Amino acid sequence: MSTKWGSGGKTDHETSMTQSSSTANDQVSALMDGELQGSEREAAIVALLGDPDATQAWHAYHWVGDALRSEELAAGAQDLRFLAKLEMLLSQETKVSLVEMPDKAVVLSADTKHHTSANSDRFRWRMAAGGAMTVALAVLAVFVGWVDPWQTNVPMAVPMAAAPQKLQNPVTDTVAADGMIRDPRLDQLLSAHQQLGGHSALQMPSGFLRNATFDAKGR
Amino acid sequence: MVPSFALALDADTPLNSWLMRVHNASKQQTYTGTFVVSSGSNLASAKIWHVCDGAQQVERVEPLTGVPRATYRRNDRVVTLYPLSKVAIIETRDSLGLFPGLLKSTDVNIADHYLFKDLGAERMAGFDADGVGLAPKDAWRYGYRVWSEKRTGLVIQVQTIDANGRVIEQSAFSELQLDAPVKMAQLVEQMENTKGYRVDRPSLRTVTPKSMGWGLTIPVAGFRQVGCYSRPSVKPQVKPEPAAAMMQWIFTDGLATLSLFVEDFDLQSQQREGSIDTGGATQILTRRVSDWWVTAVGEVPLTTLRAFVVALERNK
Repeated sequence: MSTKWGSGGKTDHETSMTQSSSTANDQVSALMDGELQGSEREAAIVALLGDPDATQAWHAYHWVGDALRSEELAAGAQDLRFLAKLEMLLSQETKVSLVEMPDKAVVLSADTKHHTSANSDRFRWRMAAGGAMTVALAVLAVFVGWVDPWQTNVPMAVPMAAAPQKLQNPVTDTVAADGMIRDPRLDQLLSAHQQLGGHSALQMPSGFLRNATFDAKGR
Repeated sequence: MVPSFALALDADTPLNSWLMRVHNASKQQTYTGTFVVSSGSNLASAKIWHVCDGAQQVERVEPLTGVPRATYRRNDRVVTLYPLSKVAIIETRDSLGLFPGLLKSTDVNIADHYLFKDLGAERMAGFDADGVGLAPKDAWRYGYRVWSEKRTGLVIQVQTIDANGRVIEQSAFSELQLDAPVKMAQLVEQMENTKGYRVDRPSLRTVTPKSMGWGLTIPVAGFRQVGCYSRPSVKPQVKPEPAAAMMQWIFTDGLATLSLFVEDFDLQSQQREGSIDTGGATQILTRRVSDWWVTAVGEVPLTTLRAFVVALERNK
């Protein structure tokens, strides 16, 4: 039972990048922890600003963390507002009856699709692999226990230079064995959905096997 | 036994008969192999044993990642054993094998919504396979590429494709042995041996949406409802309260399935509305609908989940 499938997809380049970036990660994490003071802190910030990988990781962490915690962002607030409006618009505009079924030719569907995919990419839990994003993932994996998406009572976003508050009891099972950042409650719903999906032609064997392979972690 | 023949995938071959062929092969064949599901940089794999003696089918799936466990299935009875925690989950999943009935129903016509095309032959997992593309005719669903073993029709690989042509998930046998010498009796014995295990039988009650207080005008052509259940809420029980019921309402277009989970909205739980990317083909959308909390889950684009959530109506 030791398929190291988390790293299965990484190229040599990506792996070495992750290793060489671990120092950058340490600095970023120390900075976020508020462990650095005075000149050490300044030096770390300077190093951070000079290192595109570390900066990327920093942005990524705060991006995701802030997006999860609140509507008001230091960066990306515009995007969230746009998404919120789009969501509302979509929810109004997708209310069509069976008879007036839009097909591919309808502009709304096509635009919706593009806008949604372009913006929702920014808020993916799992960002695209490769390059600086691999570093961002490594950083996130370390800190993901701090941020529970289902708890919106975590303090509002603080200016980037300050350290975010550490949760009392990081939920260790938030990062499942398959590397997915999941809420156990959500896992159960996913499981419930996939268990009863036998109606589809492709359910057997691929659907059933897929679901048994991804079965909810731990009981 | 299906005689071997060259599968003629020309324009005259009905989509439905191809679908029935692959569906039946998955039940009637005996095989073992390693199955891999991948999406993005996520990989999960499992070993599988499947045996059919004509009368019944028995299967064992043992994931190679995550918590050690084995899922056994004998027709519609499913037993999952967790050897470390000594827990056995026993369920009846009568939705398995309902596909033939669905094909016969008048309001699901897969050919209306997917274009069927021949992708040609390919070698896969050591077998000659026929590739078929199922391209969605609209933006409400994903596309699929399916490769089935030439002789038996057993599906070897399925790719789920999004509107941009990207493979968002792939499920495939990395190795496969047909007509493997699997002993059915042995598998049955394993699955029934729950001695020393704590047995859990999750309760699932079939209900009508109306009785749960809900109605819905299906917003996307080709989808029909295929089940509605009441299940215990999955909310973490902080106080010793009886678990409130949650409704699960399931819809499918014959290839893609989605579930609407509806439960009481709990101000305490402070859940966040929005979409969640699982990294695979499954999309999740959460939304508060007055006093209820809706979680839509399905292997369809978010737009489709949104449409269903918006279409949900509380009975007056």
